[in-house]
Amino acid sequence: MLRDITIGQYVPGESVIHRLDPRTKILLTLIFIISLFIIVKFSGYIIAAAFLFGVIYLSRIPIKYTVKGLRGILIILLITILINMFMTPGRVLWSFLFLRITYEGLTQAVFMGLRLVFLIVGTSLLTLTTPPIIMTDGIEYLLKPFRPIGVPAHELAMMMTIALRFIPTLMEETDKIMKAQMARGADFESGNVLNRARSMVPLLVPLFINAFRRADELAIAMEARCYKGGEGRTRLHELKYSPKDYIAFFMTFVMVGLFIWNRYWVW
Amino acid sequence: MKTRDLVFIALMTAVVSVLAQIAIPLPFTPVPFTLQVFGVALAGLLLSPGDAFLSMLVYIFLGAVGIPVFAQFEAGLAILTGPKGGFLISFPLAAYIISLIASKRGGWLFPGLGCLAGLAIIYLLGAIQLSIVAHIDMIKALELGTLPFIPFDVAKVILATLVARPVKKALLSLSS
Repeated sequence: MLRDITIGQYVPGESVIHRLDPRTKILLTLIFIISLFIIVKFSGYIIAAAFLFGVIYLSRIPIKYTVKGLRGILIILLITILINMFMTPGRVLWSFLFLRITYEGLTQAVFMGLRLVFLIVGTSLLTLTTPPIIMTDGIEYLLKPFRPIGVPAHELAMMMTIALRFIPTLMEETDKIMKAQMARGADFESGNVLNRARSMVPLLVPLFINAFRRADELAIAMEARCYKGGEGRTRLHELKYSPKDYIAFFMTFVMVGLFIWNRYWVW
Repeated sequence: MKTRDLVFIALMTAVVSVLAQIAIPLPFTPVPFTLQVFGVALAGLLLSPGDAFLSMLVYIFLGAVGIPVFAQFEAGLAILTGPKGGFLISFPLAAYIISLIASKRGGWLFPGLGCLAGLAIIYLLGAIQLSIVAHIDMIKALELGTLPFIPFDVAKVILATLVARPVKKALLSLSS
């Protein structure tokens, strides 16, 4: 469960996609998301599908991992399709009592459903091919230019790392205090919602006080080791763009170009 | 930024990450019941407005890079851009507002009011994204994504104000 939380969704691999610079992957994923909204016709999705399958093929990630992300939105996908199908006015194809399916509704439903699928599969490729720590580095680099306007790029990355380190500790602590209070006769499982909520207070208060004390110790330890933020920090691994990244950017712009071409000039 | 603030912000991020895993799926809606909102309220009540904002921003980033910190061990940019994403994206702003209002005055009233304002922000932004992504109208989105949760969320927020007071007192003694 939370034991392997630091690994995240990453599927280890050595493919070209895996070895792309994290900045490239983050930027291109954002471009992909936005450009999906350029598509207004079904034929546009053929281009998107071709591009996506190309990337999946290159990444050597089994298809079943890439569609796993869809499981979480299955219900909402269904609701989207149903609402769009039954609620859109237009040429009636089929009707039964108060239910009616229109031609416009049907196409709309399939269209929106497809967009959602592309959105989810496309974005999950980013997290499948990039380990969280590398991605954190990527975010820090990407945010650096915004430092002058007050975006704490280094601090954000540092906080992500520290939060990651705290999660297992907190889980452990919760378990420990829960058992300690139960040994003293605390009851977390009976009574109505309000009573149960109130019984949580003696569990949560010491949990948080303990956690903050630990955090305080960590801060002191960091300062004792002369931590002074991102200013003048050097790194073991510097991020560098390579020819692969330029090719990836080029391919994505070609895709966006095709989307625009499809929108305005085809059928 | 002081090192201590930095670590405290990270701690609140971890707290919300853990609380989000205590989730119960509900049959009538795609949005599960979680303690996330309790965590958001707590971040707002315990940290300064700017810090509260940052802690939730870090939470979103953690999820975005693929660490399963969202409800039911979900993660990834896909969740943020998906139908449920708006609720998550609203957290920084909600925590900021909660903290802003709660810090106006001590006692129970202002923290409570702040929490309610925060809830309103979460509902509003969440429903907006739900309606855009799922292509349904706003009323429907509010019905699906917020209405079933109002009683639970109010209970969570009350719990948060109850817990935040003694913790805050302890924090003050810690900083001296």
